[in-house]
Amino acid sequence: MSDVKLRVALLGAGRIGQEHSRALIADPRVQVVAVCDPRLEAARQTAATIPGAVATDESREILSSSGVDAIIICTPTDSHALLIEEGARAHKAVFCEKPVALDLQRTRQALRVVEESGVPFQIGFQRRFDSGYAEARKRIARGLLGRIDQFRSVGRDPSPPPKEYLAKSGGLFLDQAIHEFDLARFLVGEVHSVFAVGAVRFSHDAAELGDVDTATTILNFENGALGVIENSRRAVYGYDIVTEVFGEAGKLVVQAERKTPLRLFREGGSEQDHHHFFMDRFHDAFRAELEVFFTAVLERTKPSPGAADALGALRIGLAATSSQKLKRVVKLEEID
Amino acid sequence: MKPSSTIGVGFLGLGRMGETHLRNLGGLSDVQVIVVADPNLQAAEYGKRLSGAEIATTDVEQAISHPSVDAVVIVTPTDTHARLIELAVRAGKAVFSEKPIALDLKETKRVVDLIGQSKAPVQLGFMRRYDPGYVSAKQRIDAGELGRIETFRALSRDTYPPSLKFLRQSGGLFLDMAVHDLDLARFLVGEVEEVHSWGTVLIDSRFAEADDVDTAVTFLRFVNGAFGVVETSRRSNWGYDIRTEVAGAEGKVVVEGVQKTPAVFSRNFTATFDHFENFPDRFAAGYRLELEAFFKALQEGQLPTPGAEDALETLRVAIAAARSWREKRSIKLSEIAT
Repeated sequence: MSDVKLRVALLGAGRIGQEHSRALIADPRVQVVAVCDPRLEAARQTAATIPGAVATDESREILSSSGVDAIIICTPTDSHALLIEEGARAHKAVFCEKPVALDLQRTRQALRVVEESGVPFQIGFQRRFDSGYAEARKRIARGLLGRIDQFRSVGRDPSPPPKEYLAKSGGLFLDQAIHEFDLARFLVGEVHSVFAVGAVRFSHDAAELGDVDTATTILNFENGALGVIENSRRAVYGYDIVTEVFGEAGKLVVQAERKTPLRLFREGGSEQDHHHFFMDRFHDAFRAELEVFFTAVLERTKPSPGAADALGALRIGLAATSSQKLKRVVKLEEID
Repeated sequence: MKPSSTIGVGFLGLGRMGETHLRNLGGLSDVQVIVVADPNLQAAEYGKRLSGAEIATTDVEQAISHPSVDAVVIVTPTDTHARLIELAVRAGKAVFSEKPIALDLKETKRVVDLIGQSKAPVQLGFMRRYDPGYVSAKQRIDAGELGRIETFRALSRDTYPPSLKFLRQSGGLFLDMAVHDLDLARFLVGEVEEVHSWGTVLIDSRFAEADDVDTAVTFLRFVNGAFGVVETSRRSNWGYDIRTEVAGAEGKVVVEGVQKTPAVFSRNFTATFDHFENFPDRFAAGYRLELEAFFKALQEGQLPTPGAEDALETLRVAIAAARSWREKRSIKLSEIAT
């Protein structure tokens, strides 16, 4: 371990920014030098929890500073692409929450700048770092399931986000289902075509915005496997994330049975609790993804998931969005 | 320089457990490690880099007395705890120490009295009390959801038998290992009135050489009338096996963490999932949360828990269990000096 620490700027002090800040404090290889948020008070509050960090509302200063080696982007989606470009041009290593942008052209533009600058870039698909998914990937890669034939994944959020968030989210397929699309690529491989159906079952906000709150997507993988993905913006019992990969020699289920290692038995039966949302279900994964990013930066290897993965999941999301609107199968090659 | 709102820490002991605690301290805001001390300077230096501390030293007294140190975290070998706690308390510092204070009652009592007189905030590392499973069990029992408690059942099996060297200084199975379940018994059900233990050597003759046992069952009669049974073993080839059940008039609660990774793998007519390996993974959250609770108590001016009195009471139950095994008879807690 080197005594010279990576100097990191945290951009965005919202919910996920605060979550990341705790992982940053805990990593001895990292010194957070600045927390930036247009809401200066939020920046101050988060910076106050990090020894040595200053608060600012001016991202340009940070991006032009020679005292910053890496930036962690946790700002609203519509600012990601520009910050990625500015960071890459200023030769900072970049970690960015998903997505780069909600359309293909803007995403490609930003990723081109990353490529040309050669800076390390990682996108925040944190599920890949969950112990369950990481183990699943290893076992599949070792061939323990044989040839993969089917993929099944459920993603249900406990409750829909506020309308202001929904309006800028890009819709259910690009905002929520994109995590399942990334898992599909991570565990099975590239997708050839999709067919998606969606409905409004409960959310007036979704209806008003032309979005859906419930959706099912069928995937055809390039390797011949079939997949089905179910999403809902509401699950009254908690955050419901289950993935199954089925192959000729076995199957794998990734599912957190309960949050607390406790079962209660009373008249009428037994109960156990459930994870509430992504913060608790993927707490360790949020830590692990940043650890891996900093290791890659320090060891000068390419972080993963990177630009190709950001683009790959986005293209499936765009294909599913247009399939749902056009009511027909959409091939990935149509998304360009 | 540390801001005045920040709690400065003197950290003693950089073994494997020490590293775990030190990493957890890194995640706490308003807590800053100032000095790391270990008899092995290289280990102390490693701890210094890990925590961003100012000083690495082999001198524990320097770590305790440093003016910027407000709290001392003790993760040293058992036989040094009492002396270090005493030094820290006399220097006016708050203390978090791994259990036990000491293995004999007289020395423990002396330190507990000293802590009592000084009113220093002291917490002992019974991490299971901060495992989310046991926390929730305690809340539900206290809320009366199980009705009157009738039986307590606990089982602990360690994955790997320890070395003979460790065994000789461990205090034996009852004081070193069963003590965690005896502490849970007190935490979840209440004070113990009488114990009866059987112990034997079934796993490894080295335990007999160390005048110890590797397998034991302890029966408990609680002051409130409930019964308990504690099963303890130094070996489990399948993983770290810790299970607890509390049953009452209206329900029961089971605390058990078996599966470590949230994945089930099915192949050849068999579904397999993994198992926690040992205490660092099973109680990772407990280790993190006990330190969080300690520093939160200091920040809010509260006394942290479990404190020295709890450690003493739990030790008395463990000593009663060990004596019951040796003397082959039931022992009342009233026979164990207070």
